[in-house]
Amino acid sequence: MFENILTIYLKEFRQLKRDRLSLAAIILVPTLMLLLYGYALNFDVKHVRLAVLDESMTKESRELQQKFFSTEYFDFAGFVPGESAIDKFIQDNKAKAVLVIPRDYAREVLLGKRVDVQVLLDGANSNTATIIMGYVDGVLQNYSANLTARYMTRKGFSFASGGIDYRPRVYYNPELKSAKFLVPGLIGFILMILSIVTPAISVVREKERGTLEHISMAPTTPLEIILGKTTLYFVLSLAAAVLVISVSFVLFDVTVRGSVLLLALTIVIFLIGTLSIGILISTFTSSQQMAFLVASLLSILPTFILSGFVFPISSMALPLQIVTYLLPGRYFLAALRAIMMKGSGFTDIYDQIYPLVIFALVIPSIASIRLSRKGF
Amino acid sequence: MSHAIEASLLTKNFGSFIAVDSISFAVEEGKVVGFIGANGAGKSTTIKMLCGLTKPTSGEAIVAGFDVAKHPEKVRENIGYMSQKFSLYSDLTVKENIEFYGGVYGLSNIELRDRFSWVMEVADLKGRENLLTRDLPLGWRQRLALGCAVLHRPKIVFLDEPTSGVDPVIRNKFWQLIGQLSGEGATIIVTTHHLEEAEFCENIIMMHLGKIVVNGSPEGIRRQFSNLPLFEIETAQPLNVFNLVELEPWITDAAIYGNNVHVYAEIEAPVSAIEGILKKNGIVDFQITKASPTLEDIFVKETRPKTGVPNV
Amino acid sequence: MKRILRVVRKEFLQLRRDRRMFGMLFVAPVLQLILLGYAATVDVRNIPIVICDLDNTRQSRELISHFTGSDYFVPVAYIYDINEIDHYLKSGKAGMALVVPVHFGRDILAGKTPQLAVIADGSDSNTSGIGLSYASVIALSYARNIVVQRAEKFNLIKNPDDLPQVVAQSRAWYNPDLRSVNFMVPAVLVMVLMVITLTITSLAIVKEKENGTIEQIVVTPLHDLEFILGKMIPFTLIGIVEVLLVLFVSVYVFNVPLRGSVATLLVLSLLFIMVALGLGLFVSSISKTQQQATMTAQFFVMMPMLILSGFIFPIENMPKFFQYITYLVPVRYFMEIVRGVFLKGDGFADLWPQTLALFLIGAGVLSLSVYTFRRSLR
Repeated sequence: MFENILTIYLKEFRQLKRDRLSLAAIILVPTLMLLLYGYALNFDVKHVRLAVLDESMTKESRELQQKFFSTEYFDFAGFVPGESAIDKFIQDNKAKAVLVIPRDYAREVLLGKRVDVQVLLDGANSNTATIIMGYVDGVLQNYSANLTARYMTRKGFSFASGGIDYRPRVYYNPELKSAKFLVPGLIGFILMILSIVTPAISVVREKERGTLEHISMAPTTPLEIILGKTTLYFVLSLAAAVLVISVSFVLFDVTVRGSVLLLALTIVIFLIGTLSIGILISTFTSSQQMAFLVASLLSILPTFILSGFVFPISSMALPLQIVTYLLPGRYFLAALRAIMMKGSGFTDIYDQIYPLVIFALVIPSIASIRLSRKGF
Repeated sequence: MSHAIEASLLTKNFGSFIAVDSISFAVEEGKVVGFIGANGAGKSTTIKMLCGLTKPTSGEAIVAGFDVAKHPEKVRENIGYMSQKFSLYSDLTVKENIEFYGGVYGLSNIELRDRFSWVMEVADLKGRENLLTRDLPLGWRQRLALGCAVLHRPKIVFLDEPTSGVDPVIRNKFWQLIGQLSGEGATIIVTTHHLEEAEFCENIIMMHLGKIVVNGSPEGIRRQFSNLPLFEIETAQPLNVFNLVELEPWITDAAIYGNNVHVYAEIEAPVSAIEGILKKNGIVDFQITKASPTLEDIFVKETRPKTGVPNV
Repeated sequence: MKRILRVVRKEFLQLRRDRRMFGMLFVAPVLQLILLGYAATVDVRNIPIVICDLDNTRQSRELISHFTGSDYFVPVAYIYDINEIDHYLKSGKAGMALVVPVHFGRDILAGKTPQLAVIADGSDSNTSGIGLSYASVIALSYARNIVVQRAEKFNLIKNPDDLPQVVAQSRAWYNPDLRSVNFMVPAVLVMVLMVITLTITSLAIVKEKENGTIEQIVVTPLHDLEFILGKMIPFTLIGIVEVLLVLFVSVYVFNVPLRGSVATLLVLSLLFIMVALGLGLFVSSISKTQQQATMTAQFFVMMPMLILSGFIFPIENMPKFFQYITYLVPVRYFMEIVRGVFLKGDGFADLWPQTLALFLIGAGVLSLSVYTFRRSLR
């Protein structure tokens, strides 16, 4: 049995070594994605270009501007010459947002009144716009608290008046770096591609060429063929995982905080399930084209969009949130992030592990039932 | 008679591998010419260079009066080409394939109608116009492919291994079709590795390792090689005879055909030498005659390594 | 011309027979619209929050109700031991934790400044960043309430607006309700158009290579350019149909406002289709098998281009180096065009730089691909 498996494994390995394109895809795709996700992509909204229309032109209005530009969130993008020019600033993308300080700003503030300033912003990207609005509110509330305290002091009330001492604290990723968030997801994504798409195509290719029939004639059982083939992709996937983790440690300072053993175990459980999906796909598709299509529709798209890789699951429409419970990627990503970044232990992520275990039991069973009934 | 094809010093290298090694030849108009050789001899590459599918590394080819390198479009108007892969669209019907190729060759509607019924007839496809090509049996598909390749009545037709992988009955039907085209005045170039097909050709060009080894009409070639030291031993014990003669170093080749053993005896006074061996081993019941070589004999002889021990 | 039409006809006939491809042409865009329209939102809402109220007074409960009453936070558990927070965050059951300390209420009544701790799970950097800014807004507005109440108690003011306060009246242009759908669905148009046209073109020629039909074509008097044109015309038409399909669904199902003109969108889509066809042709020319073509198109052309197009990740957030690279990505320009036409009502006058860039890239890509295609035939 083991000799047969080993024979198939070696054959696959040799073929892969000669198949330059697949080899390039296996090595280059993770590298390319890692660089893109690590360096190029992030949601961190900072240095928003803010233009100012200051109709007040007073010490007070300048103080207000100062409050904005002393944070890292806003960069000064110029003075807008007049109300009619605001359009142009946003339309031409000279500024993402314009702050309009009204004529009577200073007087009202000094009288201790409420003043409304206008903030006009480019809402095309709703996400960025929402974040910017949050920043604006934050800056203004802080400043208001400040103004109020000064006003009260001037009136002779000298009690401490911040109201609340707000203490935000960020665990696990204090600088809130996107790269650290995206890397574990990326590992899941790459593993999905390697362990579903490549084995599915590899089996179907042999089907197309008729070599699978040939091997089946030899005293090798379908199970041995499958094990021999999957072993290679299993090893490759593990190697890719190690590679991505090491590279992200070097480049992005991503460390594994939790137990490496638990991490390895989670990856192995996940791979058992996903490799079986790949095999399952190969049993009911007959062309490489079709296998690729089905495999990528089942792995790439849902993993990218529905597993929480990029888009938070809690914000999705409810029916789609329910769909995510059926995706192994969802649990795997959550477990991976927890182990790598939060140092979570088995008891913490038990809820993510057991669906993966179920998955790793059910899919291979279905695949082997299909194989023993119908062959390839 | 003028020449349909003139090739001079055509060469094609793939990297360090020389597929075609500076060959020169001419083909007279209206002839059926067979390129014969084993796989890898350079036949297909030569045809591809003549059709403009592959650029020669060096050398020149004039096809239908036009230089292939300079006026490929003029050449294409005058040639038809059918490759060993039967290049039809398998997901189109018979009719759609003919219409497509007719359109591509710029046939008018009247011409197309005319040629359409011609193809239906010669390819025996009447009543199958709306079948998908992939559902046709190989023999029909092949004749349809030829029909499509000659829709525009080309002066020269190139057929690259048209009969590989089909049974003898279909092969004969196919050659009938070739004969018909030739009767209409077309020059036909065929590549094949079936030597028996060579007999259908008016001219034969044998290729080996990128070179032309023999060129001429079948009779001319046979005449040219009539003095080959080829002998036929008629005997009741062909196996014993074979086993004996095969051991002799000067017998470069031997083969059994029924009660006959054919041998190449490259030695002076071969008849007495063969007699000597057989008698010495107690075989008396035989008759040795000088045999005239078949095309196969000549081909085998010409493609055998010139040095070293010949294999049997 | 007649010869080109023959090729066009042939392509349509073949496409009609390829049920799977035909299905993909219509199923893929719908699937992508649903997934991206309903799931691909980076808006942050419903953050699971664990609440640790160590004070349990009227004041602490009032503050907590400000958190739980908002759209942004959903309470997952109320706990009374601060040590339990760790488990909630580590297991991912909660993304944030709110800790109200002992004596919170008493301090407020006494005019002191009590602490309020908000802890975020930074492993999801985007969610926690936005969550913290929501939390700070809630905490500060509560703080202001306290100050106002106190000032009223001492008869310092008559109504809340008598204390100095600067309030932002924010107005978002182009997308006043800040619907994520308005931003994402137009992008699907770009994605669908690219994926469909690029995929089928990249397969179109390599398929003829694999089947050997291309040799047959080459020996006919059909010119290379006639062949390419004959192939591209059907795919262009398919592309336009796809645009109309996605446009219809975007406007009537997702209610995305289409402020610009359909004509502008169609004309510029045509330009983009040219670019995509050129890229597909290029992939097809350098590939030997359909498998190679699909893999190359998917992993080395479409995925990187999509990621760098500003589709999901804003280009302005990228480091300078990558921002420069995006100038070479045609999808980037078309993304700006489509979002501009949809949300801002841009016309040619506003979009000429993108149009020009797309045109230049298109011309470059097309000539390169025609060149490699012809070379691949020799």
